[in-house]
Amino acid sequence: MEDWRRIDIDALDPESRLTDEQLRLVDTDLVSYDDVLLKSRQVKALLSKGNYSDSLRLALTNPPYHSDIEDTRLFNLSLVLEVLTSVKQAQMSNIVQALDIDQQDILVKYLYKAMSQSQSQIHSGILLAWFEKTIEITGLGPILRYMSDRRLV
Amino acid sequence: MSLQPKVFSFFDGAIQDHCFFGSNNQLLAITQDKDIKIYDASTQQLLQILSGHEAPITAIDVSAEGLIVSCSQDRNAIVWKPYINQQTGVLDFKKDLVLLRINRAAICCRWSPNGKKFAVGSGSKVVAICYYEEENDWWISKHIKKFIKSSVLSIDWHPNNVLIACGTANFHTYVFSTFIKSIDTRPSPSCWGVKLPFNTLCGDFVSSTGGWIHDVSFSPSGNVLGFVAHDSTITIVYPSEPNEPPISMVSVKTNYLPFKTIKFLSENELIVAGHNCFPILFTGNEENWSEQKSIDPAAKLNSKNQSGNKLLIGDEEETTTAINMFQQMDLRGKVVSKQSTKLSSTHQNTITSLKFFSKHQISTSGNDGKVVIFNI
Repeated sequence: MEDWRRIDIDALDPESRLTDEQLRLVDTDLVSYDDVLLKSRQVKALLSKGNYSDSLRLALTNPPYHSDIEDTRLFNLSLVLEVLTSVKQAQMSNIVQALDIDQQDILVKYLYKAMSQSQSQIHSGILLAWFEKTIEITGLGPILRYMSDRRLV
Repeated sequence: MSLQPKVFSFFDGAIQDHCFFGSNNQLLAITQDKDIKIYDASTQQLLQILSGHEAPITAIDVSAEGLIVSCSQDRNAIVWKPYINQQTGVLDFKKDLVLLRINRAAICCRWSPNGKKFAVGSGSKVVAICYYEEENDWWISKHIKKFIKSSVLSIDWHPNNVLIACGTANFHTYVFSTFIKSIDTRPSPSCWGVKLPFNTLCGDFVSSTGGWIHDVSFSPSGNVLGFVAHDSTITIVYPSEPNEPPISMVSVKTNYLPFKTIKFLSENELIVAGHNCFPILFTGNEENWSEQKSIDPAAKLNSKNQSGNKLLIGDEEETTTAINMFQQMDLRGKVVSKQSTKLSSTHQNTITSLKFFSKHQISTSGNDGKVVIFNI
């Protein structure tokens, strides 16, 4: 009863692994670098007017998901980060409240992504404040959806 | 009828599954590791211990005729037929082993509504459809394995006794036909399909944010399908016609921990329960579904800003703040913590199984070792 349990029988079964293709549930639009570049100009315009709520919403709209366009994804991340770091702590809750539930999910994804990047570590205090305020409003759902969703930002 | 839930707590340790059976739901069967324990629900007396499995039992279910099926990690299912022993005059069970022909653990089992077949989902990427063959006095197991790419975690039967829905660990929910000529009458055409030979795929749905499908449920008419996944969402599907995309698919993103069970009360009402530790009623239609109320009177829904299921702190003044702790260490040389870890809800841990007890009552069991009957 004991010994055969230690054999990794799944390694011998070619069908035991699911491919990324099989795990990709919903087809997402391919977002190009230029799309994000265009978006970034609009976001910056909104930011300079002090319209944080709309600029965050725009930065979170239509994020690039595909894993083969890492530079585009990082570009969008830096855009989101730029908005997040320009907001004062007192305003955070109102801005999160103004987002719809899908955008809140995407925001949490970007917060996790940002925390995993070494270059954004200087902002960790701000990121944690955002995370705290967001979860206060949204509850635990977005964290679980961040973990289960295959569409990584 | 009192509004307070009725709580049964017989032993410590998780309960994988439970079911009430017998006349007036007098008897209660609970899994405890490799055994099933049968209790009298009114006197709470232990009547029988059914042993036969060699590994922990993963699910049990009772049929319309009162037969109990159990399935286990030992890759077998057992059908238990209750009878009154003539010599002793007490309740006894006849045991029938069912060879499922699977090479991984059996995970879930469900009787068809008429009790002629049962389905067992397993880790070997198949669903075993089992039925009794009179001439051989033997349970036959037929496999559905086309399309299924990973473990089958949950099963529910359509009221026509032919279609089953199964939720899998690769985030898909499938609807299959299990038509067996010798025992089934040909079902009338429905939104799921017209001709339904065995192993026909009638539907394949995913939740947009992924996650294991913990449970599936058909509505009483069978024309609506709901499922809960590990992304804390509830998805309700309204199929249109065979091979056509559904009329609508409502995905409700909740702010609770994931739900493990889902049951439709009517076409417009459903109950979910799971890691949040209390059952919640949702209502809705093709356009929108929303949470209505907590079935557990002791727990409240998440309001806008707070989690509804809070830790109960023993006494306001005794809240163990750091200051308090150090003061106590200074005065008494030890910490007397009065902070309790009790949740406000009736269940203290994940609810893993939810069943109908009567028309207006549900019974739940979970990892806290409790069986609770809630009034809806």
